[in-house]
Amino acid sequence: MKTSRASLLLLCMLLLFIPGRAIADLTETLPEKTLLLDVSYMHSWLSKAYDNNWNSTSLIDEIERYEPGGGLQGVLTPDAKVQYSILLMQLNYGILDDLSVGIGIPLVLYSSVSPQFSWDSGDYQPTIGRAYSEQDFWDWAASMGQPKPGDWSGNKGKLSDINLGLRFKWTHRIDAVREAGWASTLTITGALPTGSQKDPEEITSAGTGMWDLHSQGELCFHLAVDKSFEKELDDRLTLGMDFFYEVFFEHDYTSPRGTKNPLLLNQALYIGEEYSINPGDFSGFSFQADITPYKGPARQTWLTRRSGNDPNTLPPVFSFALRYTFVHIQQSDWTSNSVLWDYDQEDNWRPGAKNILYAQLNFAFLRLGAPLIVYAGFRTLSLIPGKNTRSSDVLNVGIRVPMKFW
Amino acid sequence: MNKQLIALLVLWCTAAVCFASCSETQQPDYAQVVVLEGSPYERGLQHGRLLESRIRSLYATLLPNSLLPYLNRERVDVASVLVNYKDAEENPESHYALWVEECLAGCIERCSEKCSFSYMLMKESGESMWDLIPQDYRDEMQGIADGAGMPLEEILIMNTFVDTMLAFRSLTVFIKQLQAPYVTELELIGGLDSDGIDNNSDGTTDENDGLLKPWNPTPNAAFVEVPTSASLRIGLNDIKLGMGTDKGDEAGVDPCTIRIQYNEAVYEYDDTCEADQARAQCVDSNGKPCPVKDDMCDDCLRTELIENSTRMNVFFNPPGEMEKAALASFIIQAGDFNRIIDPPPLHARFMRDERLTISTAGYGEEAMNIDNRGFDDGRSQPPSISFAVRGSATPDGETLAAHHYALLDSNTTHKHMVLFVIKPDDGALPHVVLGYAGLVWGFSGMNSSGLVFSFNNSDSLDNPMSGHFEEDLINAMLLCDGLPIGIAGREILAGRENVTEAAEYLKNVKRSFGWNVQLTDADGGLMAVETDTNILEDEDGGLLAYSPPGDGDNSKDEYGRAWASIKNDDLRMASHFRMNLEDLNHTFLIFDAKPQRYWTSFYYRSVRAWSILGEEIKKRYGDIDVERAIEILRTPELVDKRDSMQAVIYRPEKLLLHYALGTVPATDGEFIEFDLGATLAEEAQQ
Repeated sequence: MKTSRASLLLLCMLLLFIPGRAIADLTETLPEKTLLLDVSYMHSWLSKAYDNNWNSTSLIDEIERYEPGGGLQGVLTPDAKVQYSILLMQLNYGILDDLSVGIGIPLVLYSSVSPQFSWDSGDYQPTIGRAYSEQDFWDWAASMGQPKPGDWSGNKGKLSDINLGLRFKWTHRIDAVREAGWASTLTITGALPTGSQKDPEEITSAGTGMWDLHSQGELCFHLAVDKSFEKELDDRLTLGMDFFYEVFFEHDYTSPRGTKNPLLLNQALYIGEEYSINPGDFSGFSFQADITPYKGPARQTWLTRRSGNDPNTLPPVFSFALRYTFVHIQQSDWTSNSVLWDYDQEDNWRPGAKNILYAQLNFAFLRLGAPLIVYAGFRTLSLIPGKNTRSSDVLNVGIRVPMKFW
Repeated sequence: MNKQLIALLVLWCTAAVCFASCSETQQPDYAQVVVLEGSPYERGLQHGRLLESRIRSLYATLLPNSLLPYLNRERVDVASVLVNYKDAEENPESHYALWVEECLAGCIERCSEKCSFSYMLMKESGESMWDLIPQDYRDEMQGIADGAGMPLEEILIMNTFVDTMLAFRSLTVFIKQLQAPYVTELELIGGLDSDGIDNNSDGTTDENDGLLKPWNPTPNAAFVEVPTSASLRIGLNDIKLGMGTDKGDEAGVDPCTIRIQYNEAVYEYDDTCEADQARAQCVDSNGKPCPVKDDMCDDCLRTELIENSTRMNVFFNPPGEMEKAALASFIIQAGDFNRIIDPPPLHARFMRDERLTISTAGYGEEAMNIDNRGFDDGRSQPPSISFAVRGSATPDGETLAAHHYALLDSNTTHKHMVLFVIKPDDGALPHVVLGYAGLVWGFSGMNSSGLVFSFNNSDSLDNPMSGHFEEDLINAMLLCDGLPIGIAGREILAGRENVTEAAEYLKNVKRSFGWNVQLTDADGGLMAVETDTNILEDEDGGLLAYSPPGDGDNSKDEYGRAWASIKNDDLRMASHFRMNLEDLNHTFLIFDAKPQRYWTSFYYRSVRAWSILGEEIKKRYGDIDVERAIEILRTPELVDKRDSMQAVIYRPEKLLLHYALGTVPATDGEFIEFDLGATLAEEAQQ
């Protein structure tokens, strides 16, 4: 059959109804032969960490500097700030109604690290007739071959780890469960090592892999359960729980040789040319509530006329989700030629915990005839203290475009 | 269905908890006990293999990461006197310039370390010491190198850098002091010539009693029974050597840099002021006398330039008069008009802090009975100390020898501590030393006969590097060609059984620097040995030894006082000479090399520590057992909180020791008992 170019385009843009559940739903799978394109922009910022006692602390410990054989020069207090901007493109496909697969391609737009040292002068130094000022200290350090670490930015256009995922809604074919409003899925995702490691010669730099982002593991297992209150609350509330275990794999890293920072980064001399990190796995659970304050009109549009589906089954115009996640982080393990150096690194990555709050607003325009969902979310670790972890905040905005091909 | 779900959840949680209890990282032991036996090479091989990782990390974190870059900065001052160390820009044919050129031409990696001034210094000095090191220790070092997979050159540097560094440091400090202002005289003004008292202990009464000229640093009070209304006049001078970094700027003391600490209060000018045009006074932006940063000081500090000279008088009037029948202490410091930019930061030449202690009327003690202890200046750390007790000083007569060594930690040394048990196979005496991974020696040790050896550095210009300067003047090379003190210690422990034999050995080796060696044996022998290299071949042989009173010759000074004992059964040392007061007093070319007390930055803090140590021993006299000895070592005023390295108490009669390693300060850690006798007995049975 002949089809014009415009028709083909229209064909591509035809949509099937999306079952009336929020896309952020923990147990959502796509209908058979449905594509979902999700493009989002994420901006994260980070300036604090939590120590072993659940207290907020700086990302980098303060450094006391002493004149060899003579008194305190001063104290360097870093107030480091780290930012990431990431463009995440996801494509999900419903193989069956209860089986979906997906691929996520995160592209780092840029990363920046700003150490922002402040200085508290120390003892009076008889050799120079004053206490060291900050400038004095960096002049002294430069004379020893160590420049002052500056701000760093990079990773422009670099890939993070590409994720592949599979979700199986094993309760889908159990009528009694489905009719009671319950659903449960098993999700497995795996990361391909397409991210990059940080430059070992830079004091302040960041990589783009899962370990660097510390947002999820490289092989993740999620078991989710939720209950939607279709009859009781007109399908305006869904409560869910998710249990997960996320594995990080051991990776090798190149040891710094001191080409740019000869005093601070020449560990290759004693730890070997390479070292490995086996990051601590994640495990934990989430609670989520999906709430629909406004469903919107339920009238026929060209979308529903084409598919023949009930407009009430389209996503509500406005909904939001609230999620709390607890993550337990296991001890991360360094292995090099120096057990002393290994311990110094591991000491900063003791078993810990994250308490994450996430909120997302969804605006779906399908009921209004537009195949588009716009969302915005905010994820924070700053409100509830954690342990031995970084306290980041992430703002994300995105669009979702469901599509179906006949 | 619900039950199945719940079961799954429970399983999941259980798994999570199991994984959650995966072991948390544990700090590795910073101190280890290592037994080495066999031939020297075999012992070295065992050493290198067992401690390979720590040898590498100690080398990397202490030398290229810390000490070597720090010493590189000193080249400029050294090159201002010694032409061999000028760089290619100043003289492309100098020894240093040619060495760097050759090194870089063949260098593949770590060139900034391997082709640096400080590495050259360490390497060449180590090589010159190599010839004096007995073959056994050369073999042992070779074994360590082979076992650890490191070049012998690096192991040699690790084993000789302490001696080299201290000798080098003494020279650079001395060169800097030559170019800085100095005290010419000191006078107390106000009734000292009419009070009927010999205030300055010169043997005459009321005749220039307030004058100390020339200036002579002393471990005791400089003036006694001083009227409380007296004030100070400090004579300062500054000259230009006309060479090196001292060129260009005019000589003169910068009045705005005058700083006087009187007891615990500091008097100095406001930072915004500058010297007036005549460079005689410190003035503010309106030309008025600069205010002093202390509300109590109402015109208490003023300066006066002596006409047509670079000499200056500084007048200090202690606010509110001095306390009656008390001790008063003054720390004096000043800088010049130099603006040194290399090494940074930008600074003038500053003289060493000079300390003076006096007693005021009614105190009632002679000067020689008052230590120049002063007050804590808030920044100086005490140096290494040692003491030994026996007989009546202890509750049960047991002999104890204690040592706390402090010099350089750099946040790394304490992580590499080792107690070595050395069991030679050639009939030499088995012994223990407290040292570090990679070193064939330790800062103290004890052998199976109960002979204990420990040393503290005691700065001296009477060292091999000065010796080369004496011979070759400005063409001298910086070579520390003496026997490293630690290896001398190993030789003593391997082959001597009592303090007399040990002292005899030390007398006959070429020493690498100034050292205070404390010797103790199982028969209660206590001996303090103060040594230098003896480059001028003095009659004393560069070695002076003394013991507690009653132990024979050399137990008392010219005043009949014990050199370093409270009573008859104790002895103590710090990091300055008590007996070897004129270690070197010689003019090299135009340079006046003076005895230790005139120039080393260790001097006053060592005098203070020695005085406090004596007081602590005295307080516990008759009760000093291990627990009390630990208390003494832990006295806060005796602990270097930043560079403390190791602390130990030896019990030679029982072949026991209690060591504290692996923390900074070392004394913060637990003192762990080690039984050398039982260890050797067990090994013998096997």
